[in-house]
Amino acid sequence: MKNRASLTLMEMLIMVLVFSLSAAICLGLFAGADRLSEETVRQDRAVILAQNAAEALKAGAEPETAEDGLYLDIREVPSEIPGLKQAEITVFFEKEAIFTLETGWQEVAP
Amino acid sequence: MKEKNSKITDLLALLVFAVFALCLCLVLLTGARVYRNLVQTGEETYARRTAALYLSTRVRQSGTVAVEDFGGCQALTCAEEIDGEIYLTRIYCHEGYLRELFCAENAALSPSDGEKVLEAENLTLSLEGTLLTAQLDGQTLTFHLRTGKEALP
Repeated sequence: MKNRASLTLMEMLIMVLVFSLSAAICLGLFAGADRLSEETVRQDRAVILAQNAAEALKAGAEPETAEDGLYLDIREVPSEIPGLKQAEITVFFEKEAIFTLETGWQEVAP
Repeated sequence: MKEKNSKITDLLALLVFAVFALCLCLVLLTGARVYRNLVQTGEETYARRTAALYLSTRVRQSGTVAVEDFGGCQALTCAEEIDGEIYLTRIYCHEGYLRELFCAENAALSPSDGEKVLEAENLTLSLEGTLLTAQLDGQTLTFHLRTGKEALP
């Protein structure tokens, strides 16, 4: 009787150990999925921010350079074609570049 | 004594099982919460991206674009000429939806006649020179109107 009880306890402990290992893996995957979802939303916003900046540059207006933790770096790229202006727009999140957009537009004489 | 030891062992086994059940419930609840957040985020991202693409496509397709008041709502108006007549496509927010209304220039229609496109609460538009700025539910979209025309024909 005592042996049976001890055996049951032993089985249960092994069961908890196996479950703990599985739970640790599952929780890690959940955290990864959450992080990936956040990254996707951030990238989506970065794309729209970069597109808005490109459109503002084409119109000769001052683009928004920061929004909700994201910030832009706009670098003018020298163009070989006269009358064509080019720029590279990079969106950063916490010093990491997450999206880059190259744009070009015709220079309009004032 | 033997009976007491047996009871302690049984109690211990029950306790371990209870801890196991509790951990199982926690993991299941965490998984359910993460899945719900994923689905919700996915839906919001889809709605936001679709709205941005829809407005972008409409603005790019149109020859002339203007911002005007339509029955108390700010509307993006795109004009086109078909068989010598002017037809307008109006895009605006009304009663919780982004709507589109295609009609003749002088048609007497109201904002509720528009077709529902997406769920949206608020659309704010501004046109400065060739730069059109649209704010749809907090999301800002900017368009450079290539033709430079801002008035209706």
